Amino acid sequence: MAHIVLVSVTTVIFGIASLLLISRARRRLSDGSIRRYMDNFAICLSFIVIFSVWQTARTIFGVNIDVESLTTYPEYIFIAFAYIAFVISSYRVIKISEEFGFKEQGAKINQIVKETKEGYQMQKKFTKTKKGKK
Amino acid sequence: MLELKETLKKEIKTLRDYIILITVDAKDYQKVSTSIIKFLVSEQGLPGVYVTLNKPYEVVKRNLASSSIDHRLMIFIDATSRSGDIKKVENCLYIGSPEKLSDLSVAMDQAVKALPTNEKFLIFDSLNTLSIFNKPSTVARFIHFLTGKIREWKVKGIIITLEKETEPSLLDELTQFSDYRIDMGGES
Repeated sequence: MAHIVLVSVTTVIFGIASLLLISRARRRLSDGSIRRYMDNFAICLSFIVIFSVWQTARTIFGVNIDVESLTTYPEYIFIAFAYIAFVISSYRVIKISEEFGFKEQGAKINQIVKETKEGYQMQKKFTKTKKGKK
Repeated sequence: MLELKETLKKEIKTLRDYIILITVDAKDYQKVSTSIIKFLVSEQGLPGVYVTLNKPYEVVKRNLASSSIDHRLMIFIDATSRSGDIKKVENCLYIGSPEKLSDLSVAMDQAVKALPTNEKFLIFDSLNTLSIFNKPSTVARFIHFLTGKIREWKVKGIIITLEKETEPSLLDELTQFSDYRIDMGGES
């Protein structure tokens, strides 16, 4: 029992510490995609922390909050919410990668640079041959 | 603009990476920005990133085309339009607002790193516009971040600003971080 309490309390402390860190990080960012992603991530974490707090309270105080005709352990609803929020966060990550990813453009530019260099070298060769013939 | 080209050639010919602060008079602004791009893209054949806070991408593209500069060698980050939403069209990322400095920083970082060549450039156009939309302390912090990043990325960094519109303390700070300061036009 003592072990379970220790693990539960530690989990809650880590969760709250993570939320505080996210809040500090969020304050430093200006509005935009990155901050919105951080908000999503904070929501995911909040659900998990609520779940942990609920479980810890039940372990320590033996309090059982029954929500009729829902589940035996209503706190699991928060885990379900957390997963939904994770899906939304992952979707936001995809959007961020689409917005801020420049690999495709970089590859195109590389191709243009190569073509330009080849063209320049061919022109140089042509001029040399022309001069040689003269 | 011959003067600018000569100064650029003389000062930075041998350097692989640098930070140059160009202060310009409003009436010469257009010519100066085009000359810089022409020097880097057409003469040196370098790819780069162009951050525009003054003119929308379409206008910059049109200006470059009229000066026979290959805009395909550049990735544009447009923070002029205040549409609010981020969107990407061709080789341009619209940030949506000049106030979104976090997004602007991430976009610059990704764009510079996506360029595969050893030598590349970053043009920041312009600092004084940033000051209109952000607090002086925020701009100062951003400038510190930008100059640090330009050093880290090892790119040819060019920061353009209108001298009369820029706070002297900010200008001094930026001059301190830069390798060279070129004053174009105006009374000086």
